[in-house]
Amino acid sequence: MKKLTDSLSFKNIKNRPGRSMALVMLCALLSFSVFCGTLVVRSLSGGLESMKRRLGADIMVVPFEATTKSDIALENVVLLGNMGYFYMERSVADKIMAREGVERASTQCYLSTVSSGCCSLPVQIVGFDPETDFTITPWIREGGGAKPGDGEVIVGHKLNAFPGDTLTFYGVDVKVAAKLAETGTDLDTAIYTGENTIRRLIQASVDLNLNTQKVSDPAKVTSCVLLSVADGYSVDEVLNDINIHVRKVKAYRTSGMMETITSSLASVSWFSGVLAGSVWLFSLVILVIVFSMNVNERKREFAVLRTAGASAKQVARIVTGESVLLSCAGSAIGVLCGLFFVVPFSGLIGEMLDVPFLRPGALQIALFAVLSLAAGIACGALASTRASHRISRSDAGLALREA
Amino acid sequence: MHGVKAGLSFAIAVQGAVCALLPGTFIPLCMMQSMRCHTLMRPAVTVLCVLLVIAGVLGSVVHIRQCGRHHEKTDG
Repeated sequence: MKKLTDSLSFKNIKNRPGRSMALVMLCALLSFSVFCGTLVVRSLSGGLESMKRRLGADIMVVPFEATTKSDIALENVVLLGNMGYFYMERSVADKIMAREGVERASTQCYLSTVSSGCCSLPVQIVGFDPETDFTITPWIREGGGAKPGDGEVIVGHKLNAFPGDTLTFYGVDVKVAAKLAETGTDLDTAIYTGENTIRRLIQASVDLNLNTQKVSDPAKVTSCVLLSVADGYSVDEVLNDINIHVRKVKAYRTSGMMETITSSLASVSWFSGVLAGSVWLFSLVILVIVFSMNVNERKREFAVLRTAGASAKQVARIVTGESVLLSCAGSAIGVLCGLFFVVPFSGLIGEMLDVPFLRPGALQIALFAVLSLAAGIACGALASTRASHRISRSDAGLALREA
Repeated sequence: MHGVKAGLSFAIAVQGAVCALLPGTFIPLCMMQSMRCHTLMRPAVTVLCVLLVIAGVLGSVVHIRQCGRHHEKTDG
């Protein structure tokens, strides 16, 4: 079988290194934009799906005072695990849970640690009741872990702590019982624990004068109540009932709170898709133009081949062969650049975008790489179709006579 | 001479592989994976070291082949 390097297409490419390199770079840009655009859009939708799966509750009730603070974005604290803590009396939570139309209810208590200067960041600690909880427990079960016991915590995926490790917060030692699956949100950097442990931590923060809230007894406070509405009642009915009849609290529809996050996610996703699509389209147009110009300036060369006995089909095959070889090389370079310079830095991209960002698994990334490679090769081959068709139909004698 | 160059290229490849293990394996990193050492430093070091390994391996292969060709010429 004839070696690839003996083919006329390969020799034509080798003899024009400058032109060939430019076409390879264009194909690389095309496949790079397809691969990275697909990866970013998929990661954004993965983060959103993961966040929706964690939701569970229909209504979230928080202290009214917390809604007036501009430094706390409530939806981000509850839904995304951002820093922030606020408290209300437990007796108020009991009143909420007893309202008509509430099927399931569970309380959560928040606390943030402090940073200790250089190279440290505060973490969000979420205390929940393992007996009544229905939002965090399914997530723990997903990761194969068990509910935390007294003095135990469950850590988010992005914390560099593993089962058996001991962590210290406000001077209180806690043991890591399990690690959660990744969500692509700040929930990955949060810590989850039972009610007794969170009360001990809140007391320790109060004793150290590091708690910004006025807490006299940690056993008598909670941060929010998550509710699931019973069949036969509408979410708005229960929500309005709580807002009218329970004082000093504010109830929100969790789906409504998600809209703020989903709309910013949608716009980032849309922008990434449009950018990748535009780069792809412009690269394709430029490829078509460049291949046409390339073939046009070599009319006499192909005419000589025709007069030497090459058929129209063979000439077209040479042109298509060149474009396929160039687009193969270019697409491979583009996909490799994406694998080297985008995939390892996906964590940084997620941090900079500041939206839920869950990178797909290795198998899906490999699939995107193969599809981007195929798309780049197909586009390169398609770009030369018109030019190869035109040159195979051109009159050899006329082309030779042109000065 | 080609043999020496092949050896040096191989040493560079091995060094690149060892350096890639520095952050995270030999030197522990921060507790939170959203911090700069995890999101920026470690992937940057890994990518550069992988490129170094590839360059070292390619250099070794090229020099070993040239060494072989040189021996063929001198024996022939």
